[in-house]
Amino acid sequence: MNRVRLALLSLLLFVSIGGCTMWSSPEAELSEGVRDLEAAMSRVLQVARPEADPKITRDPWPCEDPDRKGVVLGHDLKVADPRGAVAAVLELWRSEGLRIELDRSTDTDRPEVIAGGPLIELSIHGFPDRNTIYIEGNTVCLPGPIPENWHDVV
Amino acid sequence: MRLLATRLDEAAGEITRLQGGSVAVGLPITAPRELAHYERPLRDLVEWCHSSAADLRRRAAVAAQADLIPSSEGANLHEALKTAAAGGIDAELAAFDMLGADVADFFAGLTPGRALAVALARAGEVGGRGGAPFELRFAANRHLVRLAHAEAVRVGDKAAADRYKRLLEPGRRLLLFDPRGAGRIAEVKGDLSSATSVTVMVPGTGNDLSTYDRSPLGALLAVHRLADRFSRGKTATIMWLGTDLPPNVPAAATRLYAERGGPKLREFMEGLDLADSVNTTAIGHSYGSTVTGHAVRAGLKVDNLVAVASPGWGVDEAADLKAPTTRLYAVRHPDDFISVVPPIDGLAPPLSSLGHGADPVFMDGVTRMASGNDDQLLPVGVNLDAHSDYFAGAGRSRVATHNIAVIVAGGCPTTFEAARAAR
Repeated sequence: MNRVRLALLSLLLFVSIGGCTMWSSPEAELSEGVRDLEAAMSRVLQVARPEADPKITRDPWPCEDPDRKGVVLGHDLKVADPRGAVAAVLELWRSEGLRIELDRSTDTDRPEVIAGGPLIELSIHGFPDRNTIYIEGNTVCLPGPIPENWHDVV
Repeated sequence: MRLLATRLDEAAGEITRLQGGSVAVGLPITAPRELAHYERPLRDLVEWCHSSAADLRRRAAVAAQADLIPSSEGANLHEALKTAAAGGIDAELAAFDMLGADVADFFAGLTPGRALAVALARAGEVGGRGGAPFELRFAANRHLVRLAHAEAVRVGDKAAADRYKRLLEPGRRLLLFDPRGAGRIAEVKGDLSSATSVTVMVPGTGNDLSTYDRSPLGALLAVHRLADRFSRGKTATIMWLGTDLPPNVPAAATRLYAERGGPKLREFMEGLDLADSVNTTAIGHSYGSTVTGHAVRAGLKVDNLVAVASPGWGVDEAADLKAPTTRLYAVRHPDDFISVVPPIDGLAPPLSSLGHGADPVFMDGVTRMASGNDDQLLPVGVNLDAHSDYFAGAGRSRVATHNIAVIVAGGCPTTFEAARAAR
């Protein structure tokens, strides 16, 4: 009886491990995350309609695992209607299927939205009293080489 | 100066030799009695030679430190060290060495040049000294980093040299630096002297000076980036590693590190001498929250106390913090493995040093904030990655960081309950 149980358990374990191995997709690399992030920020800029060139900050995104890296990209923008810009960006992110983690888009003082995708996180913060918005996005910590245009940062 | 010091030591040795060792141990009993009156002056002369040689070496060392300062950092630093080496501020240094609590008055009475010279010549004492002007503390700690970098290069410790080199990059301002042992560091972002919101953050288990540039610095930047925008540039954010933290999880089960660190954190914050109108926040991640809890119990006065992924503040009820005017907040991903720690703590023997009290997210009087993963059904879990994902990491930190930044800037964060209701 015990032998039968042992055999059944072994079979179950084998099938489970095999199944997981078959279905786990290869992990994305940092270059893919950066590509996603830059493309997402670019689409946000089109929707937000800034009145002047954005002030851009680029920093490394800290990761616990030394074998993984991430980046963070920030845009300070002057806009005519910060509330409208936040609402438009929320619509954009919804249409792109991003996970909306925080929706304070109707807050009159500081409308804000935070969204996440598989490889990136994004947030937009409106400052109606200053006619500015701040958009920030980061990749999650990912393996792989650092893209060439980020070598000066990471 | 070093050559002169060597000659003085040699002269002292020669006198001693000529006297047959009498200067050191007294005249031999066979010596003529008329020589007795030379014994004391000769001994004094030898002592003078040695002490003068030591003083010259100290001054030479100070003068040599000037060579470590790149010209891009300004001639005033060179000048300050040369003044100190030449004896130009001996009276001020003697007065500094006798100082009690009146540090601010002492520096206010000096010209900027002399104050800088004292700060550099006594960098080890000024760098972390409460009451000393912030700019002088920055200059003193930067000087200590320079010395540590030179030493790391000298002994071939490339990892340490690289770390210190990064700390010497423009814009890095330290309120504390000590490379000895596990190391001490406190870095500030923002203008501390004009800030209307000042935050101190304490990292968790496993952090020390060698890991500072990873998650602690990342957390500092993540919170400051947002809080500073929310407060229109009126925020200063400090990452404080001014105490030993547990090096591993078993060590983190004890209160000992928090009991030692709490009073140090209180002393550090009191030393900033902030105006009463400044909105102050203490944020602790993991074991760092236990340190902040003990600091509050030791008398630290802050407007907001924030526990991030906390094993406990060291109390079973919020009232035990004895801080009735402090607003209390906590955030934790539901599946963060730390969620299982407070219940295990409850099994610790009552008189042992194990355990950190109740879980802050479940305490009455504590506002639980949304973490971004609030729709998970189980209130506990064992996800290791989740524990490091509040300021950066695997992609679910942005809501937690945002809520913390909102508190720092004096606003109301999104609560856990509101976030759950919205899903």
